[in-house]
Amino acid sequence: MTARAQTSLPGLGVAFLLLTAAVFVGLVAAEGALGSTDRAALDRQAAVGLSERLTADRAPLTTRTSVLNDSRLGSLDAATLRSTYGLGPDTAVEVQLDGRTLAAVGDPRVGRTVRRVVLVETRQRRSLTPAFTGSQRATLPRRTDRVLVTLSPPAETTVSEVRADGRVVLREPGGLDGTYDVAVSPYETTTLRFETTGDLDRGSVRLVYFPERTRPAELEVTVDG
Amino acid sequence: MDNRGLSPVVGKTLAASIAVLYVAGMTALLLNGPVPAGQTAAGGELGERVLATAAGHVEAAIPDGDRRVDVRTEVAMPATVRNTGYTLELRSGRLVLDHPTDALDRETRLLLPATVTVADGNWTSTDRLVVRVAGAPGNRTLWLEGDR
Repeated sequence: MTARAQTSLPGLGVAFLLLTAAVFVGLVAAEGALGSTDRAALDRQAAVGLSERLTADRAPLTTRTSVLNDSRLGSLDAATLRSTYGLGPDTAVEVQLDGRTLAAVGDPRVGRTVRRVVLVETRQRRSLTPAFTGSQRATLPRRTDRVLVTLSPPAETTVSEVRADGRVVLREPGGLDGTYDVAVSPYETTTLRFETTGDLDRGSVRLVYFPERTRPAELEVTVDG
Repeated sequence: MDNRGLSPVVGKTLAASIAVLYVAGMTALLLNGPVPAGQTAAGGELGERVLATAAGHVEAAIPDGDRRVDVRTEVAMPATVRNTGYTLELRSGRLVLDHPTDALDRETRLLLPATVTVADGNWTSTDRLVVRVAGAPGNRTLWLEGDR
C-alpha cells in the first residue's frame, strides 16, 4: 500500500544525478581556467624590467629614453648583461634587435619575450662650405647638436662674432680664426650668422655638423629563469 | 487502510533526509578536495603576480640622475593572499614571498644596477609597502619600509 505513494523518490534521484553532473562540469571548468593561466609572471616581469633598464634615459646604450645609440650597441655582450644589469647566474637572457641577436646569456628556450619599439640613432658627419653670395649666413640643412666651425677668413676680413639663431656662440673682437666646437639646439634648424668687417667668400668658413638619423626597430628581450 | 494517510509523510521525510545527506556529503567532498586545491592554485598564481609587481616597483624605484637622493615610493599591494597575510623579504638581492602556506612561497632575483646596495629586510602585508632609496649616485642603498 505504501509503495504506491513514493513516486517522487525516482524524481529526486534524477535531480541529484543532474546536480552532481553540474557540479563536476563546474569543477572541470574551474580547473581548466586555473590551468590555462599564464604561469610565468616572474619571467615576464624580469623581461619587462630588463627591457626598461636597457631603454632607460641614462642607460649605457641610449642617448635618451627609448633611443638606442647605434655605435654603442656593439658594447652589449654577455658579460655586460651580467655585471651591469644584475642577472642571476642561472638566468638565461637573449636580447635581439630586429631579429639580430645583440647579446645572449645561456639559451632561453621557454622564457617570456617582451617586444618594444625603439629608435636606433646613427650620427653622420657632414660638411658644408657656404658660398656667402650676398649674405653672411649659412643654414645647416639638417638638425644637429654640435657644429665644428673652421674659420679661415681672407686677410682683410675679421670675423668678430658668430651667432646661431641670433644667440652669440663665438665672440672675439680681435678676430676669430681656427676651429671651434659650437653646441647648438638639436630641436630647431640652425642658421649661423657671421659678423664681419669685410666680406667672406667660399672657403672662408667650413662647417662640419653631425645630423642624426633614426630608424624604428623592435627590441626583443627574452628571459628564462 | 488506516495507515494510508502516513504515506505522504513518510515520502516527504525520506526525500528531505536524502536531500540533507546528499548536500552534506557533497559539501564535505568539495571542501576536502577541490576547493582547497583551487584556493592554493589561485593563491599561488596571485602570489607570483604579487611578487612580480613588487619586484617591478622595487626596480622602478631607483631614480635616474646623478644627484644624491632620498626617495620613498609607496606601492599598493594586496593585504592577503589565500585569505592570510604574507611577508616579503629582501635577502641578498633576492625578493622572497613568504606565505604561511608553504606551497605559495616564491622568490625572484631583483635586476638592479651594481651601484645599488640592497639592505636585507622584511615587510608584512598588514603595513603599507614603502620602497626607500637613498644615497649618492655611485652608492645607493635600497630598503623596504613598512608604514602603518
